[in-house]
Amino acid sequence: MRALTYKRLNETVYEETLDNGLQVFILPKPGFRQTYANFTTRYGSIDSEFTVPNRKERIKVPDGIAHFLEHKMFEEEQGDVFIEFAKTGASANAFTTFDTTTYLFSSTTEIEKNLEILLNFVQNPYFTDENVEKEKGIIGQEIKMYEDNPNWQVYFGLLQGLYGEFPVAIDIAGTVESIAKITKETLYDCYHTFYHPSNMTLFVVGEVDPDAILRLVAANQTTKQYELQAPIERFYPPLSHGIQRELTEYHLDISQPRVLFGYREKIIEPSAVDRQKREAAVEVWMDCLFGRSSKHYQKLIDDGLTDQGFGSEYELTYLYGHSIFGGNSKQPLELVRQVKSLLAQFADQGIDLGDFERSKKKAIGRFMSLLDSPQGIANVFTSQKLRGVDVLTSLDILQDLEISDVNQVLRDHVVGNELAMSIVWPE
Amino acid sequence: MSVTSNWMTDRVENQIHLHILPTEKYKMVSVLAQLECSLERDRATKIALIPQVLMRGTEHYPEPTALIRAFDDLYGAAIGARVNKHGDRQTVEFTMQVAHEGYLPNADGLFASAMNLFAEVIFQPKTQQGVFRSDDLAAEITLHRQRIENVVNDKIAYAGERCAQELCKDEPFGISRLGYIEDLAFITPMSLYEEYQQLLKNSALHIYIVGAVEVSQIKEICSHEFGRFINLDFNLNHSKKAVETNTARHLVDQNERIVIEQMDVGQGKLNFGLRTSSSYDKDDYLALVVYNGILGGFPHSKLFINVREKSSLAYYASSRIEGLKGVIFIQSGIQISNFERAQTIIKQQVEDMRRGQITDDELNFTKKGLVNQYMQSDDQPFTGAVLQMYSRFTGRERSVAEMIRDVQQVTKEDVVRVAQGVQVELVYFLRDKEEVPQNASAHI
Repeated sequence: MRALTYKRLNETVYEETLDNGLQVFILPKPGFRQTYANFTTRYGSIDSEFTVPNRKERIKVPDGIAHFLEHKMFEEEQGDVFIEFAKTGASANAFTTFDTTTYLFSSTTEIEKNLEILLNFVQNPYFTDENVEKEKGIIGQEIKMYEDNPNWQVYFGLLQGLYGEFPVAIDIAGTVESIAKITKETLYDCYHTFYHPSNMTLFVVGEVDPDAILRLVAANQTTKQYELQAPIERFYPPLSHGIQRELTEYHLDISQPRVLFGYREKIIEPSAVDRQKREAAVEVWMDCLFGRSSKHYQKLIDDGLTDQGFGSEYELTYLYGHSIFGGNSKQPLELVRQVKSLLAQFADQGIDLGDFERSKKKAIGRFMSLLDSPQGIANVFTSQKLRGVDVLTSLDILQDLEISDVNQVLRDHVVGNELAMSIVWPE
Repeated sequence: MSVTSNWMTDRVENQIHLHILPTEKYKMVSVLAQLECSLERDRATKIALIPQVLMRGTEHYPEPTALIRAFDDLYGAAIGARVNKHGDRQTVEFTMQVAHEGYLPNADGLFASAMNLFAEVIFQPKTQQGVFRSDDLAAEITLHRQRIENVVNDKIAYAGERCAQELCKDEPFGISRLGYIEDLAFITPMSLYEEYQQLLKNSALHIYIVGAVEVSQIKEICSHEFGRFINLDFNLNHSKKAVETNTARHLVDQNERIVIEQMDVGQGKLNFGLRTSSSYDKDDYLALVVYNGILGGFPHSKLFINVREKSSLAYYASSRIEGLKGVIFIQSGIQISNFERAQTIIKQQVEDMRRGQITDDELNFTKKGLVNQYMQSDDQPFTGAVLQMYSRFTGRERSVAEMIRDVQQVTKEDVVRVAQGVQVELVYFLRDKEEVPQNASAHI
């Protein structure tokens, strides 16, 4: 077992890859009552076309199936997995993102037992025609819930504008029509392709003994038969050169318009560390220009163009990347126009050195708060790890960041780039 | 099973109560400061505006941008200010998270500087001719109007808020946390400043500090930073006055009401307001907590199993307890045409509880789940702060350890006994704008 110590943070992560390929990470956190475990497969809503390993057939599956599969994993022949966790009082859950599916529990007693339940239920699919049909009603209501949610609608509206056919623009839960096509056979194909231990990670955080946890997990995995699996073949439609469309609109029964807008990232480095640096640099210029302490942020509010909820974020993976800006606005088009012109101005003149130093310090301080949340650190560490990034090196990356890097990254992102926007209007 | 409760308490003069929890487990130092007052229709809007206006700037940092910059310079010390509702009372709460200086290069004195700013936000707002500045107030009134209007945008939260307002129409708890749009026009820099002064005069300030801190040093910092603002007019008697808990119950004479609201929505939100005969201050409160857990607090609960898993009617179907009020709210999102069916199934669960149809598994799973939640609450810095606030509001002291013990002692008979006092008083349905059959909106 490898021990990675992050001296400045006073944290050590223990890491081991088991014979079947499962990567295990353990972060001891003395003093915490809960142990939180996150069992994740590198499989999410964008993985809808792939080769099924056992019969070498390339298939395309219905939108929303990764999320559907996540729901169905909780059903076993013996019954409901939630009941197994309930016997120890553990709190269990799961979630699906664009590129991952995570199963988790948090618990204060019987950690070993809960870990066994977690590993066993995720490694034991049980789908029937009947239980698949039943789930369609439940997920149908989950989809309906999101259809009424302006934040969700405006977000996917923007992704559609930015990406068109590329699957990151497709709602993670799919549509009522797409999930209607899901069958137990397709679920098994997805399961057997993506739930091999070599495609998965386990992260355990809490007041635990790393050796004991690792022994337990290794013993559990030894009892299960897994053939070695070749790397998974995934197919994505080509990313278009430019954006799909400039404006995407939607109507809901809400009090004022909500707008999001952003750019696709043009430069996607093959190296994960380079992407991590780019991401850190973007977050710094975003904070300098539109963070709460920026005069531009306050001016947009004072001019009546938005409110304190105005914000920005950035996401970058080896496949895609984009920025998002926005919030509530009574004059969304004017808000976009002003932000766009500020971005052009600062891409040209560069950000202020004082702002740069302040934002860097802020990012360092804010990163530390992540370490106080077992759930937060487990989820962020895992999702970053699966993108090839070690999140605990963030402080060093931030420390080494130069203002020239940040200005370059700002220019890369904005200059000559096409902006897409999405607006949800009141009816 | 021991749970931390090593709070050190101290005073700065009469007004300021310090509660310090030294613990090595966090990398951040967390601060919560609370002022409390009664929840009244006529002052709710003003109280809600106070934290917003205070965040506009202090004497030393008179612009919002300058103020937040000062916090950002302290390794991004995260400051927040908001109004909160706890049962029939209200608090103005200030929070701050500061990275512990020990993990940072050249950061000695970080916490002291952060507390200096924090105290100024609470006590030393920028003023003009002795009151809040009118341009600040005007800007915040505009934003607050939108904040109130925007509640409707999140339909789940909106339905929950409306359900509480309808259930507790004539009680303080039914008053909106953010206040009312129609009141905004009457708020002047003078009237708001007076309300702020009243708040400082009549409420003790409780400050909670949790992190890897040294108690004597923290006491010194606080006494220096807060001591300079001590209000000589502070009304000790007011603060000491025992808080009367609202014991008015409307059990027997309240008929069940249905409120149907129509908006352009795709999914219906079906919520229930249930009145009970217990609450935080009562001996049988933990039995009510277990009752709520069996009904709808967990994925093994009756609502989740029967509404979601067995009938596929909803993605979410759960209940939550408002302990200080002794009311329970049920929430679910359903296909609009399933209103009658979902309503019947939900009521059946409440009825089954009353008739004692509770399995050993339901009881034991719920008790274990609650114990787990209470244990986990020890990983949140301010659990102790909430319990101490509740004890001030109700006169009933409970620690996490006691609640764990009390939950473990709850029997099925205890649950069935509190179930006799539970009554569905309100059915709230947010639905689309299709025509509603005449009889559906009638009060039953």
